[in-house]
Amino acid sequence: MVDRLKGEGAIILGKTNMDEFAMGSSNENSFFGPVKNPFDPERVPGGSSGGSATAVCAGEVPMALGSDTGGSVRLPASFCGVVGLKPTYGTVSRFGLVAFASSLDQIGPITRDVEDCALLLGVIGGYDLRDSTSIDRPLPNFSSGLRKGIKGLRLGLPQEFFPPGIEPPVQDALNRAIDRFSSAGVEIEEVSLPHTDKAIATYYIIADAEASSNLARYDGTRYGHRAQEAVDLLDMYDRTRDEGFGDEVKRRIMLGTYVLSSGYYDAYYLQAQKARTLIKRDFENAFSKCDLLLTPTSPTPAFKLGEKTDDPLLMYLSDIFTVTANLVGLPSISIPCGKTEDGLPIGMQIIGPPLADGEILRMAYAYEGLSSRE
Amino acid sequence: MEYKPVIGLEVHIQLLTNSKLFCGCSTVFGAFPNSQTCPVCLGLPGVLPVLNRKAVEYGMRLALATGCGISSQCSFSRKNYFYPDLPKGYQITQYEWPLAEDGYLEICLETEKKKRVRIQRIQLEEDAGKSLHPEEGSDLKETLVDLNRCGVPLLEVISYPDMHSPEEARIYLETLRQLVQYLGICDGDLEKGSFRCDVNISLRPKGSEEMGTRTEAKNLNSFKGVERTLRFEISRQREVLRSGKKVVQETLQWDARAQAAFPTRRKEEAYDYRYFPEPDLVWLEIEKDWIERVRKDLPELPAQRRERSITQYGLPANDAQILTSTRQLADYYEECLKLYNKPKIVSNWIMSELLRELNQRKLEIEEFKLRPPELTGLLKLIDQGIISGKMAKEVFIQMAETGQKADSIVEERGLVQVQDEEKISSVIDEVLKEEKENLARYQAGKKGLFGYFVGQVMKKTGGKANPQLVNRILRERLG
Repeated sequence: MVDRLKGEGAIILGKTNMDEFAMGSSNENSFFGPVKNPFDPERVPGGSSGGSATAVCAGEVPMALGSDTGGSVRLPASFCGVVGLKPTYGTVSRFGLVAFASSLDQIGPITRDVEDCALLLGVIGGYDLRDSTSIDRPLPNFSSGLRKGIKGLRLGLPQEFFPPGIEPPVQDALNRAIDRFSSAGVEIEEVSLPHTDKAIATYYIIADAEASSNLARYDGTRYGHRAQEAVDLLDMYDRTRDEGFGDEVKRRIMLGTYVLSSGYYDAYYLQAQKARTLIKRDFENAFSKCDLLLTPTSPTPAFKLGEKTDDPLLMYLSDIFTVTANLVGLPSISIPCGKTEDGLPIGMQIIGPPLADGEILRMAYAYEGLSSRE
Repeated sequence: MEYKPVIGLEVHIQLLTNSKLFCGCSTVFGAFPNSQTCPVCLGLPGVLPVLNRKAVEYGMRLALATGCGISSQCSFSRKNYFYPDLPKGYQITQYEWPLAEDGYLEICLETEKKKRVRIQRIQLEEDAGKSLHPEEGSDLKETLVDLNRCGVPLLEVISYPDMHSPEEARIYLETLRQLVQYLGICDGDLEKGSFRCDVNISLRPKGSEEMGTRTEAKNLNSFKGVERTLRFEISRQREVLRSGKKVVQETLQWDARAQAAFPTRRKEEAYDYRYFPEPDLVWLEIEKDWIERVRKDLPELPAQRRERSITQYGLPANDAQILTSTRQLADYYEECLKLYNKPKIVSNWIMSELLRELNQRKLEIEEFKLRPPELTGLLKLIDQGIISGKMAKEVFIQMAETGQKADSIVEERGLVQVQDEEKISSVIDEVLKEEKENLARYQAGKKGLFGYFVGQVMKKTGGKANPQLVNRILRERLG
């Protein structure tokens, strides 16, 4: 990825802070300590790629990369008022990316505007034979596709993504966006994704199952930390991994190990795979009625540091609107759509069918135009 | 009560691909430890597997040769466990959707009866590395890991429990090994570990169809070892059952010192492998065209070649069996025939002289200095009457030893047969002069002395006289 960027003349400034192994929604699971939200240092920047979003927001860099397994690019983009895109699964090679959950991970751009986002995706995207899940197709020219216009496109509003519990400023911001689209000639459709309530459970079972296996290699045998006082092999593994991993990572490894264990596999992992198929069908049905979907990126704007750290389940619910795109492999972009009275950014998400990365970029680009004109 | 053994085998076949199953590293055996590795097979963070197409084709070859159905779609799974020679912490193998299923291997029992052992499945997987543990008397202080073997492609061939004696198990293994060698997919080298075997064994009362509790012995690397372990385990289980106890399901290991098998103490048995579909690989789709291309390129199989040797060359079944025992030997035989078309004579020489030399020198046929042109050159010297068959055998041994050609040895040692009729006549005269008494007895009717006279002539010529000539001239002389 870095090679491709350098090949196009990009200058790599460095790595940014993030949640350990990209596991987190608030960037509070970092070995280096949390990143703070540039709009309010009392609040989180969103995770896991909080450092990247903050760096772009603060103008330290024009663009950054993040990896998005369940929302790790889009959620921080939304909390920091920048653009974040998770491409169609298989668009960007995962070769070189430290794996969290292989069937969900995608690298995506975090940028100040949609034009930069399209530009960056055009550089990092494309077939790579070193990644068997990479899609072998010529990449469309995302940048030139931005200006094709959106009139007549059908935008679906999945009712499950606008529940009563959603915070009023977020709902208001979305309503304004819907009006703008509507006045620009976009057809607005109500659609339903009935299995959305299964998404969080499905996501955390599959992601953690894969993570428990992907992280097995950090066992102290060949690289990384190795516990010194171990008395035998098993003890070396125990101590190394106990000392080396943070709490959230350990929690997920244990959860993932549990759901794959004999006797529980059918009840959890297999069940989650079935739910994943149902969620996929929901989207197929929805996309037969509309071209793209519009949802909030998160039910809330950036929350306070420490607010959810004692309640992992509440923390997991921050991803409620973003995980489905990963489960189904769909392209999804978060762009700013206003601010709260306190000045906190609000993000909205545009989701497309597989390979519609260009279309969601086009819709997002059009929205930038619509909102700046007002 | 009488018990019947029930035996199933799982064989790991190391494939002869140039590169590993999921990366481009070399698979050559014996390289400096950890020299044939890359970030992928070392399991570094961020790497991904890419499937080796050749390995899939090799698997398809075996599937076709054993009548297995090749899946139009198959997939890989992760088998998760921690061990230092498994850098990723999981092995990529096949679980729910193997490459091929439901075939059989026909084995030829010693009674010449044929038997089909059903094959349950053939699956592709990657090998782990090798751990070198400190042993008594070695300088090694800690366990060392060599990852050269890590990621080398294996086929696992799982049989149904269709075998009922250690001999059947051995013959199955020999037949399978011969087959994979013929297919050119495995060198079948047990010592290098390219052909390894796990056995499952249980006993059931004769006449009953219910399966007993089985035990398992892993990583046996000799056919004798398999037979020995099975024999031991059958009698052990029989004792257990006859004394009214129950067989415990466990993994056994052969202890050479005690000449017995004991349960392994490794914690491995407690492992829950947590299999799940490998998300880094996509479904492998195998189209009919691909299968047909592989089928078209299949080499002649051992059974076909055996039959052809009988019909085409008129060989006895036993000769055909031995000469086709390996593809290399069968190739050697047929190359000889191209140069010297007397099938049975060549067969006799290979089966007696050549195989004995190979045995004594512990050589494989492909390592043998005497190639078909040299062997047939020797046989031609016999036909031309230049040397006798007996001399030829001596020459053969020297050829095997030194790699010299037949004619140069014959010349050097002055082994050229005496063909000169006058010279033979004069020796016969000498002998008859010396043997007056015997000559008289012969003429009085003791015709059996003819052979004695021949022997005396041969003795006087140092064995070099052409025996056919001696016989003819002597017969003329004696009327």
